[in-house]
Amino acid sequence: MKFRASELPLTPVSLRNTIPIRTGDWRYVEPFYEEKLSPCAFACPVKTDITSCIALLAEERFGEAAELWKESNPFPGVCGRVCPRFCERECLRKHLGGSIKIHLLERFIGDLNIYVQNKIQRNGKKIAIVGSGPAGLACAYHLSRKGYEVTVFEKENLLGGLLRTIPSYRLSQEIVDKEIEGILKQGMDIEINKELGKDFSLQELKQQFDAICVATGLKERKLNIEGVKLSNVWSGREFLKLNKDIQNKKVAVIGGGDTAVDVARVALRRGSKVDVFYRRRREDMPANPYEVEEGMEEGVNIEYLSEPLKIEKYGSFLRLFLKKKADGNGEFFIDVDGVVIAVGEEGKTVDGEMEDTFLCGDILTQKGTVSHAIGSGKETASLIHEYFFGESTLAVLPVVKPEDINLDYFKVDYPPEEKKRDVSQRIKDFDEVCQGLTKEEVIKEAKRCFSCGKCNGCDNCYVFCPDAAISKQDGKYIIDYDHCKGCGICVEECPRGVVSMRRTEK
Amino acid sequence: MKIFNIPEEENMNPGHVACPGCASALSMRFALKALGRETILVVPACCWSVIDGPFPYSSVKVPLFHIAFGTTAAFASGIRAALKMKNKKANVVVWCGDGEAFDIGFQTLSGAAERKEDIIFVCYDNEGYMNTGIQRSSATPIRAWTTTTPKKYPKQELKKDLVEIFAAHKIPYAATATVAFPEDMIRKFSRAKEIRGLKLIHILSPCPSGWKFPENLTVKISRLAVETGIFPLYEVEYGEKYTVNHIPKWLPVEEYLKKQGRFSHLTEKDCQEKRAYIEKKWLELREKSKSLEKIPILVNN
Ligand SMILES: Cc1cc2nc3c(=O)[nH]c(=O)nc-3n(C[C@H](O)[C@H](O)[C@H](O)COP(=O)(O)OP(=O)(O)OC[C@H]3O[C@@H](n4cnc5c(N)ncnc54)[C@H](O)[C@@H]3O)c2cc1C
Ligand SMILES: Cc1ncc(C[n+]2csc(CCOP(=O)(O)OP(=O)(O)O)c2C)c(N)n1
Ligand code: SF4
Ligand code: SF4
Ligand code: SF4
Ligand SMILES: [Mg+2]
Repeated sequence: MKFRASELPLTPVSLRNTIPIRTGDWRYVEPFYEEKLSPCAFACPVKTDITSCIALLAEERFGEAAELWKESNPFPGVCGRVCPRFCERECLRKHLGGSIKIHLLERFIGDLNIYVQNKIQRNGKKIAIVGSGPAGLACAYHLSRKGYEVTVFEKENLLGGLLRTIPSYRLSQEIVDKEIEGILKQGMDIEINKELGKDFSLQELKQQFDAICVATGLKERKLNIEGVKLSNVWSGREFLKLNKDIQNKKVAVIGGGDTAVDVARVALRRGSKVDVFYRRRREDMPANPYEVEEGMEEGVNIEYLSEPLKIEKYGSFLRLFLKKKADGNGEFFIDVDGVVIAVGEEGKTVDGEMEDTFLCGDILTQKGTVSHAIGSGKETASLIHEYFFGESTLAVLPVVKPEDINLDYFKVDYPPEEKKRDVSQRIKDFDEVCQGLTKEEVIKEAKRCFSCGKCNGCDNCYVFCPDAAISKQDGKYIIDYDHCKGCGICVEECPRGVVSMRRTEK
Repeated sequence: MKIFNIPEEENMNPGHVACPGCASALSMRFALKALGRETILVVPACCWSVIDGPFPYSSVKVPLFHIAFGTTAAFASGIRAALKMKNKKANVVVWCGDGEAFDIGFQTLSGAAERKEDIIFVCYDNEGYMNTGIQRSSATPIRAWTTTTPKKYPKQELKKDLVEIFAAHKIPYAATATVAFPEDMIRKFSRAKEIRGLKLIHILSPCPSGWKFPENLTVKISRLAVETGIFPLYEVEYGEKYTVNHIPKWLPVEEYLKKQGRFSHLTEKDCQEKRAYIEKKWLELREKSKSLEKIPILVNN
């Protein structure tokens, strides 16, 4: 403003406010709101928006939390029970009382048993999915929710794939039934007892469907030692399907994965004495560490660094010969009534030409977990959608880093302990060992979450702006770039890394 | 899920010309939220005489008098007298730097306190004469760098204890506050409004330019000053009733010092000395404050 002398007031009084002074021009960096992916969600193979779901749980909006979770993962009850919890390893709460027990929140969401509606218009495209494990079903679920006409082919008479072999003391089969029911309600055709390669061929499918997705999983690995063909020598999956014959016996299990530990705990529950022989060390075991711990509590004995050599029949029992790897003790043997070989998976379940087919689950990724299978099913559904309609539905967000969190705003706070049934009780039956959390515990646990990368309206950015350059409109925060000087206090004081900095374009 | 609940009313406009990240600008924003529009500000020469804006602009939505250095409490007393004559009500608020409160305007403040003038006297303490280029004041902490106390000869004298000085004047209300604790600051202004007589509010006001720290850390530094025990948040009524508002987390004093260039030359011995001063201050406070009887004083060493 310019004044002539005659225009000046008699005493120096100000004539107007400072809004015309564009202090924003001083700036060379500027804040902006940018919601981010939390490290837990980034680590989750299904890429579920864990953080937003937890926020809903904290507000006791359980139904909405369940619906949002199921937008990404139709198997929260299953994953909350059996996933190795990739999310929790990355949780930024880790050093301030312990990671959020996401799997228990997920389990709670699953157990609410809420079906999500699918009101989408069918788009006329027909997709065949072969295999009804978690990958095939997740893919079918997401495709159906995108409007496709889906048919699932399964060689067994029961849907669920390997979920059906996970023992019920870990994974109640009722939960599996209910979550599969929720998937089927999205609308799809099911053909059970139909085996690809026997009852139909890929060529035949190609004539009837617009696209095919194969999700038939992996075969069990075989062990090439003498004696594997003897009677009372089973594979892991075979053993888990048996329910008699092996009561109150002495059983040796070879392997160190989930299946080996499951076999041991199942045998234990059938009154047998069990020894597990694993060729490497405890820390190398691919089995879920929580499961190994529970098994050991129950009395499963694990011998490490023990390599099997052969099995021989000795009258009424089997003699398993092994070799200790570390201390050179050399060979030893154990006499048992049965030997179970559970040495992991290998080899695709479908041979031959797979051109023009989509794949998902273990057959594609060989990751060997339920959540990877579900994540892969979801991703393949997106790829199929992109193939037909060219729209990518996989968003890319930056991930919150530990230094983005302002720990001054959080206190040390501990998670609840999940109740587990007493060892003496639980080894007598096949009921679930873990009992989950109560509603109250869920709310309290959800409130411990930092809400990494997701604004929860804490107001800090607005409160601490020295330039009054942040205002609130309709629940949103607006930066006045004419006056923001780029001090970055909002970035620093946002407890959860929502506000980012960028260079100002001049 | 708000962390701090502050009034929505905004009585300061953007476009003021404080340095980026200035705590004294943020303090004014909080103070005016509590004081409201029926307020008259009296500002001597200090950063705030610049911050408010060049003629013909003003960033605050209340009358603000720019006055001569060293005269604030006297000037404010005059305004109060004029209001009385005109039978008008308003909060008369001095808003000055530490140069005014601790040094140059000290005598007018002491006089006004003695006369029980009905004014709120606010010192935003950035621990130096910042407006004129970071010279030392009697509020500059011992061992700190300023342009007149270079690193070779850092400040040798202790900071004056303003609140204790005016507690000794038996004023009805004296309090400390700082920006990392907005609710506490706003509550103190609201309280001061309701009390007649002279009220002193001493605000620790981190200054990125003068203290040499990145401007995004203003609130962090303010928080550290409190959580290390260096700057206790407390209130004194009539020089007698002490209330401590926040028990520190007793974070290591180095966390506060190491973030600021003005302390970068400090040795372990200097830090030890700081710890001793903090401990002494808190022992005194504990002595005076009934509610504090049992709190442990855990200055980290
Ligand atoms: C005992 C056991 C315990 C486990 N525990 C855990 C655990 O705790 N946590 C975890 O994350 N993971 C665990 N896993 C691994 C997990 O179950 C698998 O990684 C996951 O099920 C793989 O999913 P998928 O859909 O790719 O394949 P699968 O589950 O193997 O499903 C493949 C489906 O395809 C069908 N199929 C195969 N061939 C054909 C064909 N030719 N025609 C038609 N249908 C066919 C099969 O019958 C099956 O239903 C465990 C596995 C086992 C065996
Ligand atoms: C009588 C008088 N002496 C000196 C000055 C020069 N002067 C203007 S502002 C200032 C420093 C003020 O320091 P402080 O009160 O701490 O406020 P800050 O600038 O730090 O905000 C000085 C010395 C003046 N304006 N008037
Ligand atoms: S699926 Fe696994 S990684 Fe994902 S949220 Fe559940 S427990 Fe965590
Ligand atoms: S604190 Fe919450 S949002 Fe952050 S990583 Fe942990 S569970 Fe995820
Ligand atoms: S400071 Fe609070 S209100 Fe601002 S963006 Fe971060 S979470 Fe949202
Ligand atoms: Mg000053």
